[in-house]
Amino acid sequence: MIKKGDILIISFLCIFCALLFAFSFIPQKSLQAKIYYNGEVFKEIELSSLTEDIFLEVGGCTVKIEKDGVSFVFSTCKDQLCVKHGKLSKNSHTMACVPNKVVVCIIGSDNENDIVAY
Amino acid sequence: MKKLSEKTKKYLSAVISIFLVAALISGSLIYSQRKKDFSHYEKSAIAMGTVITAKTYGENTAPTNEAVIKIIQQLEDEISWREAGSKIEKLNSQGVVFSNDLSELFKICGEISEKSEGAFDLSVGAVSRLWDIGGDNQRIPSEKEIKKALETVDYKKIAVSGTEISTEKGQFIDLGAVGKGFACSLIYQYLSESSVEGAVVSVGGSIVAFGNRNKAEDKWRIAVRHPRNENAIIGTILLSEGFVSTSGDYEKYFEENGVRYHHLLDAKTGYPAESDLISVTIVCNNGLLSDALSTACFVLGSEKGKALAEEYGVGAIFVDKEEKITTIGEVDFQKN
Repeated sequence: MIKKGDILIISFLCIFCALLFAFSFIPQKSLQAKIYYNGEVFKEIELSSLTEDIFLEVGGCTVKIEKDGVSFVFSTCKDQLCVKHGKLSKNSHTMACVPNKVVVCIIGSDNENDIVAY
Repeated sequence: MKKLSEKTKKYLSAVISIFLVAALISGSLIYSQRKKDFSHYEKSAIAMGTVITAKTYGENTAPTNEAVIKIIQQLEDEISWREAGSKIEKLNSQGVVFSNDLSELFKICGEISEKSEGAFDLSVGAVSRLWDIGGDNQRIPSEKEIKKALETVDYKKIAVSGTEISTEKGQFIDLGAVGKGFACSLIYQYLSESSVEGAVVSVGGSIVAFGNRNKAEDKWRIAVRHPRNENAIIGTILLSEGFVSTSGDYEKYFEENGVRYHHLLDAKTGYPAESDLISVTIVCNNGLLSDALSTACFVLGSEKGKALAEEYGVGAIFVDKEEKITTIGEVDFQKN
């Protein structure tokens, strides 16, 4: 006969399995900023690891990297669309200074979306 | 029937319990492994005057990303009117060019021009060059300039015979409305012959989704940008494989005296299309078609655009000036 103790052990193991299963689906919220210049990776930064803002000079642009996102704060380009873009903070979102060939991507591991149609 | 002894009962209970727990653990692990993505590589670059992002899934797919970007750069060299020696530059300067791939492209585009009653027209180049929206010399041309440029705009004067493409003297071809979608079709072809498990590649507003990112064959999640907020999305398209193209008045534009002059020109008026739409997304199984139709539907506006999308049997997402979202045809779209 199954005793009370056996039921407790089985219940404990079942809960343990369920938790293990659930944990494998909890999205990882860590975000990374990847900055490309002329098609090559110029800098990769884990945003949560930042202790202070970084101002990155790249290809005629200044990119501000903060804990909660990345933005172009200066560009030598004529249209200034990159500077007007504002702060990029969501997984799979991308912005660029096309004339200066600088691309900024936010990469996360939460698989919220694979890519954005602009 | 012989009764089981107390010892055997205990033994059986223990075996059943262990079996159940083991089944639960292995089931969970198998399921989570199926949902776990294949390893993937990502690369971004600038080509065709826009941002390219390639994400490929599988073992060591980094070289595939490089190859994908090279395909786009080579196509740009072939079809950009700005590139000296490109097929389109030759067509514009000599009035004739021979190309197997491009003759197919011109045939498909000719059909869309016909069905959209000229709202979509590859010969609009003389007008788009005047405006140069997104270029170094963007400006509002004079009415006289636009009227003169419009004299060269007529898709019916583009002739395709076998591999020969010819235009009438003075006509100026611009493949800006279809080049990115055409690139996506070429990328799909390349990926089909490669060893990658899956990939999503965006060429500006055109996207190709290929294969799978995990063994569970989860659909790709393609977010559609909010036309009035570059950091927000209006929703997500769920797609197994296929092509997505978006055309909107926010991509390339300039403002003067409070008026927005965008790059989606109406081939009949020579001015940016005065559409009741601000964004059109097309989902279908052909990159060239999705790109061309997104432009055509935008220029036509919601009523005629809907009819055109239905005629081609494609999925579409329209956003109008009041930011109202309408889906047309079969498109698996989750609004935000």
